[in-house]
Amino acid sequence: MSESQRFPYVEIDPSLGAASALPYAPIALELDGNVANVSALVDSGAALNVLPYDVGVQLGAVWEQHTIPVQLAGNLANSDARAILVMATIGQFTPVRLAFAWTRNNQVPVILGQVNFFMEFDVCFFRSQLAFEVKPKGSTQNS
Amino acid sequence: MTLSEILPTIQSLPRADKLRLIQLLAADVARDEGIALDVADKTVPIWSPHDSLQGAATLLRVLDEDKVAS
Repeated sequence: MSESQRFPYVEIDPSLGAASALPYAPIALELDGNVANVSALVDSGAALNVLPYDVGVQLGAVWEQHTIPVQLAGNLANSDARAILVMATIGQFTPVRLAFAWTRNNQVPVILGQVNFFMEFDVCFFRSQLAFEVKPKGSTQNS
Repeated sequence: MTLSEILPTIQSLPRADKLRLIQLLAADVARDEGIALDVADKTVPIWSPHDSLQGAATLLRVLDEDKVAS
């Protein structure tokens, strides 16, 4: 369970080819028995995790029941966001609890950022190979 | 399918999708013609909340409070 898992970069725009390749990881989010299987951008430059509104709704979350505001910056600053905790499973790893800024915005992908995805997983990017590897924190084995 | 048939559908698209369609069509035509598009003026939305440090602090507090409660 502690070995790293390798994921390929995903070309999000076929007309741009490798120029549009980004590190997207398949991840299963779970909240109160509801599961959403999504492709999430592993973004080491993001300060926090971001959950688009519709994915939160898919998980059964009710906006009015999540009252802790989260201040976002950049393009997302104009959209309200609230804190939400969900269980997340990436690859074959043990599920972990992730905190997301659940934004009213739907133009953004699921983003896995420093708080707290990168606090739970060590990630190594191999852009020249169009791949990245993920392993849980504290694990010492290599794949 | 003719342009007149799909035009109402195109016109009903959200603004972001219309812009995306323009970009896709321009790239498609350019590729067919062997033209290298100048991407210098291309607008690429950057959603990364790279400086949302206050928000990150809020999420850490929520995680800590949940850990204590559970």
